[in-house]
Amino acid sequence: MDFTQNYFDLLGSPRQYEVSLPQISDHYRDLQKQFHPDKFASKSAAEQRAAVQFAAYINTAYQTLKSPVLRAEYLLQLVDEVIDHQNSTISDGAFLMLQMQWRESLGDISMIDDNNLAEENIDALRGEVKKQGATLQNDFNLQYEQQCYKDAKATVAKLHFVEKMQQEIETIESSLFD
Amino acid sequence: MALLQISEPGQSPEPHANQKKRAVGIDLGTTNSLVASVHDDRIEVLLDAQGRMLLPSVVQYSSDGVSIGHAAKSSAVNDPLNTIISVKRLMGRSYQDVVGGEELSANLPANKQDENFSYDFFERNDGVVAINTAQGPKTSVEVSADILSVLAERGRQALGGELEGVVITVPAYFDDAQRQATKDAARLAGLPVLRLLNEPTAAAVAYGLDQQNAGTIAVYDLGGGTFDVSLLRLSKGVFEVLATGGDSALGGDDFDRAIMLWLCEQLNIRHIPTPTVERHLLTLACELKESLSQNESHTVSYNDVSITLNREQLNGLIDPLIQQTTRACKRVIRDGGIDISDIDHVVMVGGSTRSLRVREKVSLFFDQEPLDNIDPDKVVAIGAAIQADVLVGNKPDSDMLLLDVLPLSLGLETMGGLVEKVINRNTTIPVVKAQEFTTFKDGQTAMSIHVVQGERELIADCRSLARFELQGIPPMVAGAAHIKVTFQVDADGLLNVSAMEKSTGVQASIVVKPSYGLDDDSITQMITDSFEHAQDDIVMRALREQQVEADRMIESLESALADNGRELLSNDEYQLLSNEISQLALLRDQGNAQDIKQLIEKISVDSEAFAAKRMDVSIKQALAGQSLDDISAE
Repeated sequence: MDFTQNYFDLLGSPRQYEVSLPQISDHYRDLQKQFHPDKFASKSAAEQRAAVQFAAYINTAYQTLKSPVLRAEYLLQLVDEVIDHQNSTISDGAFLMLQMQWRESLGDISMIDDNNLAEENIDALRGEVKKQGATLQNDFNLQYEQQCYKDAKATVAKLHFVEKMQQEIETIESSLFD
Repeated sequence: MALLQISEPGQSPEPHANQKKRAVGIDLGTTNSLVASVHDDRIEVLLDAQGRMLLPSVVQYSSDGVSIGHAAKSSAVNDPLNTIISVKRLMGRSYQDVVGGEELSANLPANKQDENFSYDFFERNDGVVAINTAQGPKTSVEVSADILSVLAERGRQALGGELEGVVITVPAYFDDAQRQATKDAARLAGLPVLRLLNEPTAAAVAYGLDQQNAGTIAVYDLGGGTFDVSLLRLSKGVFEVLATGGDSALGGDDFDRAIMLWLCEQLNIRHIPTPTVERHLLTLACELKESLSQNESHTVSYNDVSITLNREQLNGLIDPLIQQTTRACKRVIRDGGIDISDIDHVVMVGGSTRSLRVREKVSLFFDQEPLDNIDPDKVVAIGAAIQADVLVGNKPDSDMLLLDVLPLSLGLETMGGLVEKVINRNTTIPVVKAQEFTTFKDGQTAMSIHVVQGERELIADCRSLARFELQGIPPMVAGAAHIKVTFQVDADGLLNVSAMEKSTGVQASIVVKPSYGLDDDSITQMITDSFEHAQDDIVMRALREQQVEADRMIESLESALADNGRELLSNDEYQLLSNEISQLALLRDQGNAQDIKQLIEKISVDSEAFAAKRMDVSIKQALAGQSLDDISAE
């Protein structure tokens, strides 16, 4: 099957970091209305298999463009700037400091016995991480537009860390309240 | 031909009433099951000969025979060993899980760990759990198939003939093994399954079509044995599941059990002596629970001792369980990336939401009154019937589409017993994801891969789905072979794995060993063994199944060829396929099941490329249509 269209063309969005979520969501739903396997439920097995493949491709496109991190990575991939997750390290000293601070806060929270206080601290940390994420997204946008791909890659590595941090906050929160 | 295709939405002629295909939706519940269908645009829950809607999900295998439903339920107290209740809880479970397993204790609430089903369990050679009954060993798949058969028969009676499509609902939280077991049960019962549908999605469909609204819906589904909560966004006929969660081992049965334990305390019973006593106490517990949703207090007597429970005491017993459900709601709201105030409607599903305390706590949590204008017992079956009607092809202009998600992450075992996630939970399905592996020894020709499902970091805490042995890797130096393993989850939430060595293009063969659940041969064997089916029946049934398949193949391929076969295929290719259709039409009426099956398989392979080309054309059209819209919008 023809999987050559890039995700931006597929979902009718210009190839840039800023996307309109309502717009791509609309396109996404229209595409799935045509290609979801349920639309082929009474068709032959071959057509059903083809539909599963393409619907999965549409889903991946949508997931990628919806996520600030995956979208950034995909834009770089389209200009052949592939990120090596195994060997990407963050060398920005200030950001490394921030990472350490966050880890410390997370460690402190897991020691708090009072659930209300723990929740307050979690919310504060979550807010801080989210704010940093927004700043990094802005950075990426500029770097990408100016074709500073090396810097853009470094920003993606940081965005990955922010995402990981957010997951760890969730994990700690559910372990505290379960 | 071309002119015919340009019909305005809503104007293309609907199939004539008597051409409508016979389709039903089945809610295969832990405690009760029911079946519904869309008939002349009305949705009906189908009743049995006595006018009853609910079929108790209970099967008794006594030496006198098999009884299913109400009769079986009333023998539960007298014949506990042969009477299987709540079989849904055993679906897709291994002997270890059910009997001695500490393996899954992480997934079960504390009150479950000492719970034992009071049956005579044994472990089959393949690890599947079975129950010894007076009718011989029975697996959960066979028990469920017996329940499905009764419901399907109800459908045949009401719709006047063989069913052409069935949608069966499962808890959204069901893992791959549980879904597969449900599908196996349907296969054993000889039902043409169009789709496994998640129960909360079905409920949202029932309400969504009722109200024609857009917005975000939370579905709170507390059944007898499972709890699900799902968030859906409804927009222009598309039901998009944002996140789903819950507990596949928490339900109204646990309320009964909590009340029973309280009863034991009051009666000074330290250890429940026999299964019969346990069933008796559970029946009393259930009576107390049901009465207290009407009355302030209720009294039961056990061996001439009267015991009274009031509402406040009851709340004390069940509040911890309800709290587990609201915690799960909180997690799902976070997973869905929304705020609790974004939720426009809350839908209540499942018999256990009749509990006043549950309603009270749920209203409090979501800060709004839940919708309840559809009977919570019926709502899932109604949604399933609507979906079955659409999928079977009775509503060609329907705009409705359900986009479901993978409920639990899929991962692989890595070094040190850790899990590497391949597909995260709450990813919209279908989804395809590839992962690359390499060999670590020179000349290595095989590799084993262990697929698990769950959120935890350790293999031991997740559910083992299958072990795959990749064989036939071309011998190379260590690290030179690149094996691409592709995981595909279809719209039913079922996993399929394939593998290929990239540099040589050699397709590695996969030996799938399901960790739990029946393999294909076992199911075929069960169908053959089924004492209800005499030899002729089996032959007839196999033939009928293949005829239905053949009709579907002929219909869809004929219309595809007429549509764009001339444009996309060479003359030879076109001739080949149309000859094959004619052959199949002939064989359908005159051949045996095996021959028909073989020809269908051959045509399926021969038409693969055509199907892919057709898909490409549709994609191009869709994209062209898109840019046209963009131009006109500017």
